[in-house]
Amino acid sequence: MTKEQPLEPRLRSALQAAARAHPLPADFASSMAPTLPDRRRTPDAVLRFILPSLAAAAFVLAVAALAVVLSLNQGPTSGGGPHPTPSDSGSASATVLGVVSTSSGVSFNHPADWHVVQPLIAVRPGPLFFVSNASTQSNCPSQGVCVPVGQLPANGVLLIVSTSAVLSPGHDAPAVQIAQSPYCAGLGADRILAARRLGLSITGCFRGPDLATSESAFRAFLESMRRVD
Amino acid sequence: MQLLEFDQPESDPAPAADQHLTLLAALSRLSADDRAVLSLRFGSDLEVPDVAAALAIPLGTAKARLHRALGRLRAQLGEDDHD
Repeated sequence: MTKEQPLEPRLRSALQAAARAHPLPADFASSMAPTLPDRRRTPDAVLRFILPSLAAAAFVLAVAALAVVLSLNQGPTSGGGPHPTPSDSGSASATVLGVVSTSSGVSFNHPADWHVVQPLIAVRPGPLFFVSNASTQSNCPSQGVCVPVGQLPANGVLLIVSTSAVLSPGHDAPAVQIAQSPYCAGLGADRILAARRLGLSITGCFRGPDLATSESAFRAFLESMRRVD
Repeated sequence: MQLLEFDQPESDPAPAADQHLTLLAALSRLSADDRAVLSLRFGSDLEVPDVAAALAIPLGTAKARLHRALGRLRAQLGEDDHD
């Protein structure tokens, strides 16, 4: 166990104060249910992590606002401010996974027109990083799950690689279509796929018309995921 | 835009809020890996084995990352490492 240092209680206070400043919508906990069935999930495990999950989810909201504040305080950013940049047309034509990126200890291949977006703070359950071919924005809504894409363009893709809601070693699970995900809500996604890889949950939100190409790239992305520790 | 409003203690509220902002600004300058372990450990109050489980990494890796991340956060803040 890590020894409590003077910095640690201060950090805990700062992070938890930020979370308290943005309470969750009443129905948020249910909307954060894991996207895939977990064979090791038990009622005890669920109960054990309800409160941490709520606190963690609160960070998504708190950090969203914080990121805006900090970006303004720290000078210009690539986006030039909190407003979304003009939307690029998402392209599903680039199915050759020619780019290798690394984020949160995971390396993966992706098409050249996909890019990685990292949230300021990781939470459980919550996003470790996003991968998308759509334009991303530095601000987030004050309510709901914070994702960096407001609306998927034609052939748009948003992947969310997240910490699991259930603390278990997990099993790799191939991509399966699911009906809905809090991450994809409001993005205009025509199809949602969920998978588990390396103990992480991966959700893909896809917009047509060329869903087949996007799904193919998603499956190749999954196959390429590797731990780099 | 919605600005953060931190909970403030009854005594000396401004320094506490300033300290929070300073800490979070320093945190924002760390890598995603560092932010992940620190926010899970201290923000979500997960024990280190649970941080490891959440990130699907070995316990030893989680401990090492946490140690390094705290060191880098101290460096960002210009504080001495007390280890």
